[in-house]
Amino acid sequence: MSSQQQQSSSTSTNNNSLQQPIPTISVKLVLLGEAAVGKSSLVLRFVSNDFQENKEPTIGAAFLTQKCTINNQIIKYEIWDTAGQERFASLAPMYYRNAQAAIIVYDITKPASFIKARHWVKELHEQANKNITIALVGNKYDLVEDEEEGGANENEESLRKVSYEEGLNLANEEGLLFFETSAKTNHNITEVFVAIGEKIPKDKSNESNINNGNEGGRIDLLNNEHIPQKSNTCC
Amino acid sequence: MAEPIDSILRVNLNTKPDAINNLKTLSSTYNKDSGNFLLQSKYNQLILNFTQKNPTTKQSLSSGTETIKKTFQTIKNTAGSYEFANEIDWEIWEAIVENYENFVNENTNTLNELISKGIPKEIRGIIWQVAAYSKDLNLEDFYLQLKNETSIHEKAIKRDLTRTSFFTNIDAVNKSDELFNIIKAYSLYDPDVGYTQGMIFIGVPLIMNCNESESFCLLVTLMKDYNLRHLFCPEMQGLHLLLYEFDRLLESYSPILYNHLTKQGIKSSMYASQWFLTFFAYKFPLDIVLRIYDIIITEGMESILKFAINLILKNESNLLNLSFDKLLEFLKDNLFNIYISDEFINTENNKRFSFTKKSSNSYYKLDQLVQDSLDINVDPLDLQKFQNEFNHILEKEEKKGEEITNLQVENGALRKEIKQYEFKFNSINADHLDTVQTMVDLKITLPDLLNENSELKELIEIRNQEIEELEAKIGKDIPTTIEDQIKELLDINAKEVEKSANLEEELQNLLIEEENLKKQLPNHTWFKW
Ligand SMILES: Nc1nc2c(ncn2[C@@H]2O[C@H](COP(=O)(O)OP(=O)(O)OP(=O)(O)O)[C@@H](O)[C@H]2O)c(=O)[nH]1
Ligand SMILES: [Mg+2]
Repeated sequence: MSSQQQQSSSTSTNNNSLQQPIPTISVKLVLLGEAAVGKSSLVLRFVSNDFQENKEPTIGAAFLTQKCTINNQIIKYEIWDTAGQERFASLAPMYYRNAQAAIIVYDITKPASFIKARHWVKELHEQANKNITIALVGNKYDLVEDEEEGGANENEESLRKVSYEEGLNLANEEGLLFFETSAKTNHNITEVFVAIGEKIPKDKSNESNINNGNEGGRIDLLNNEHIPQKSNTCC
Repeated sequence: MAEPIDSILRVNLNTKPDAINNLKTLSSTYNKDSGNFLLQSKYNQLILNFTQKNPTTKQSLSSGTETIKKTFQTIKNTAGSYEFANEIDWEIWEAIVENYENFVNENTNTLNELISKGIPKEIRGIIWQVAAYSKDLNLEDFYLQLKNETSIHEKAIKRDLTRTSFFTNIDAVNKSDELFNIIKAYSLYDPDVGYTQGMIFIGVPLIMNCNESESFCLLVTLMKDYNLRHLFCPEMQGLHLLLYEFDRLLESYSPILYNHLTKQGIKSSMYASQWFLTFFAYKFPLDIVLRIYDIIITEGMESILKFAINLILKNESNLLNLSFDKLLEFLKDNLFNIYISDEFINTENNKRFSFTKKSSNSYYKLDQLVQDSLDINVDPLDLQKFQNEFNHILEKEEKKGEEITNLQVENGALRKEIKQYEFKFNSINADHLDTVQTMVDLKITLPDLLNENSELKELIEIRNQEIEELEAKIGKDIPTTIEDQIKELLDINAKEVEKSANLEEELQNLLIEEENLKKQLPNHTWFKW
């Protein structure tokens, strides 16, 4: 299946690494962000290099995996794609609680989704792993690409509602990776995952694999997972 | 499976007395001999609910049901001339429509069998409304009013309608306005729930089998009297409860599988949330979903557990061999494969199947699927017991949450104190550093001072010696300067003495002269002038 396909980011391979078995690292990654910003589309592009105009709303959460080679290391991403609607917030903690990486997605044409992204950053800082690697991603870049590359009509109101600087500032303030992407045109998608793979603390992820003791990366069991957790995001 | 009521009652003896009453009432809603507890229990619970409603609503609901009965007659009369109509046992369905209550309680097994074979699509909407006791003429009027109002959820509903392939791929597509209207009206009717992704899935089967306002009434009934709204309310407690009940049932039906899944780190919420929130419509085709709806509406929301448990049990041997990743994949896509009709298996090379298959013959062995699921006779008392457990855990969790909040507050206060102490410490430390610095400085200058001191002492010594020497010298010879001074003074003195002697001699001479002069005067009247 598609999860076997490998994407290579490092073109230079030395002979040594060809002879030695390349270590595989599992990275638990969770996608968060408002409904319809393109979380599932982002994953679909990364995992299957595909795009659907009318992607179904995610109900609950979906699990996908994808391997890629980053700096002579195979990283197996174990991805939880969550449902974006506020209502599903009580399910989210169990997916981000033990995640090593998170992608917080907003839609650069929807200001409300950027506000929601701020909430997620806050919640993750408060509730998730202390050394979680977070990437902030402004999606649907294709919608503003044309107007920004000169063809824009001065009088027409721009579709872009969140500027690149706003995103970058938030990312800098909070120590996040930052990208503007398009799942539709495959703009910057691989870059996001490569950057996460490069930034993630390596020994830590190995450690957690050993601790897990079983081959699949998984969400740890807390006894009371059915109990809805008060979401921290609603005010 | 069913436990004696006493044992359950004992479990709850130390809880509130009305909980025990509730259990008693609940156990009175179904006959322990019947093959399908939920079927009887759901309707009798609905009727109990009905008796507690206000007279106007009662009146409106009764007239609604009467209207449905009339509609049934109309359909029966017009359908008689069509070919398909021969396949329908009109007599028996008529009896069901005319007196559902009686049928549920007296002929449970017949009714169960009929429904498990699928309610004929021509009268599906009618039977649903009869079984749910949903048609409410006043509510229909209210709906017409709500329909024209605007809801803050409109944009989200529209957006999701185009994104929901379950909806867009099927024939209902020309009913999209109606579907939008009932979902929007519901978001106005029940603002606490508003609109939640998943509700569209719930609405599709309704709008396909009932007219717009009837669909709305049925939706409201499902939400309120079937507790669906707890699935969609902000904390989604209804969902968490169903998941808990599912876990307990799975644990009792297949401990091995339950343990395997648990060991692999698979939680029911990872795969079953979407089953429960959409009644399987999220992944599975409409013909399956309609059959599931037949059961949900006649047996209550909890009957979804029968399908869930059956599916997972039927795939037990497959599941036991899979680990985390593969398990999730299988649970998401392949559970229904065991029910693919043989004719399709032969032609199908690809393991994956098309969801949009339009075929006169169903792609799935629907009867088999429903029959197998209904063989699982879920006991309402068990469910009640699970619910009590769940609430108990919830309470504990809430207390824990409160404790955590309290601890967090305490922690905050302590942290503030620490900050203050740190501040104090810092200023004291600064003072201390100053002091140390001065001390160090002093220590550095101390040897110099000591040196100086001893040098001075030596100097004093020397001076003292000098003084002694001087004193000794003073005794032997007066210094020349003093000698000279004395000499000088003695000279001066001698001169003065000489002067004085001269003056005295002069005075003596003068006195002698005066005596002579007095003798020369005639009478001593010197002073007579
Ligand atoms: N133009 C454009 N559309 C996109 C892009 N990414 C996603 N979309 C569209 O946006 C809609 C929502 O995408 P999803 O991937 O389902 O969004 P999501 O964040 O997973 O939404 P939820 O599952 O509801 O939380 C779909 O109709 C996509 O086709 C993009 O980069 N550009
Ligand atoms: Mg999604």
